Amino acid sequence: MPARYCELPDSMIPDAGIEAIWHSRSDRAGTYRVLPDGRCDLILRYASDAPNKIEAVLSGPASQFYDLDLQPGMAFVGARFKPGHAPRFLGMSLAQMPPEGLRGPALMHALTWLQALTAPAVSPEVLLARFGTCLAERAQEIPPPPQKTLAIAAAFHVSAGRMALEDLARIHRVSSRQLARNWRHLTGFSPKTYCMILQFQRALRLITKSGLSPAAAAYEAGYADQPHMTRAFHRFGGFSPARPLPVTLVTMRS
Amino acid sequence: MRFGYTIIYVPDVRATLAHYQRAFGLAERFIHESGTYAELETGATVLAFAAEELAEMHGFALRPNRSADLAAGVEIAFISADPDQDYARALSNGATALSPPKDMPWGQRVSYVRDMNGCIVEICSEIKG
Repeated sequence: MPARYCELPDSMIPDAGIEAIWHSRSDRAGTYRVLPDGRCDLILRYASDAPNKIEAVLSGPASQFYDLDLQPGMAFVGARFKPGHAPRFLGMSLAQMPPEGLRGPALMHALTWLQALTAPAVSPEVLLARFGTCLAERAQEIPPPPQKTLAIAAAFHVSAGRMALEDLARIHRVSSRQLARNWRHLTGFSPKTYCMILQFQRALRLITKSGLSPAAAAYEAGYADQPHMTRAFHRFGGFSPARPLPVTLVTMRS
Repeated sequence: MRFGYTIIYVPDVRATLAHYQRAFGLAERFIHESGTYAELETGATVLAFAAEELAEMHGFALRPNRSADLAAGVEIAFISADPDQDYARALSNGATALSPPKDMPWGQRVSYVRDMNGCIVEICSEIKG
């Protein structure tokens, strides 16, 4: 892969709705495949030798894979929000967020506090440290989401997309309509698409990390049959279960 | 091999630990600073709680324990010197009633509640030998 993706150790992440803080740097030109993970990432993009021109990008609710064109020296730092936390952190609903995300003036206008983050930094290390500090400070200012929101987010994830919307709504004592609307606000996804992404991510991990055969993974991940899983892999990953590309598997935890 | 742990995946480990202390009178043995794992003082075999995010990280998926859902097909049983008193204590501390204490033909007094997450808990007397 043309880029090296690294996550900071847990001890350096403010425990307030942030799933991971990561950095990535490309040493050569190439494409980097980004898989849908249901998450929202706040990303700062810069030229690694001189982080004096820093652009902020907010990733959108993509429901297909996409390939990022990378040039040598292109670098990123990013924070991935835990599901349900991004709107509070950002001060905006994700319901109307375009799949390609926000960047440039539109983003800076929506999130004025980002201006402190995009000021020139003397080195990538300073930029990363400043990013972490700024997020930690912001995390202190905002109240945690309601317990019910956290329980719903946990249920989506612990069931890895295998529970129907009606079931998720019933066991948390909300209507399906309320849950679907709230989930769009929190993540930018419908519950159904979100579940399909979780199911795909888990099946991919069962194959690439746990070493299960495609047939065993399809069964454990809850696909009706192997062709069903193959279709999901082509849509979300752009590859077949038998030959997954060496993609980055980000840390996902609710 | 020997039997080591029963680990229940719960939405809130700290809240569940506090609930088990109040409702069932069990003491805390250990809680990890992250608040994602805790053990109760239950003798040789550990009863523990883990956050649902750990299940995800370990690569498995499960149906979450929720009080409004059908209960999972498993129960935890506590042996009590006074099932009637312990049943009442559980109910006044966040457990919900399933079946009040009654005498069984085999000489045991048995009751059932659901804990705050909907898991089935039996509170019973020792079987008389």
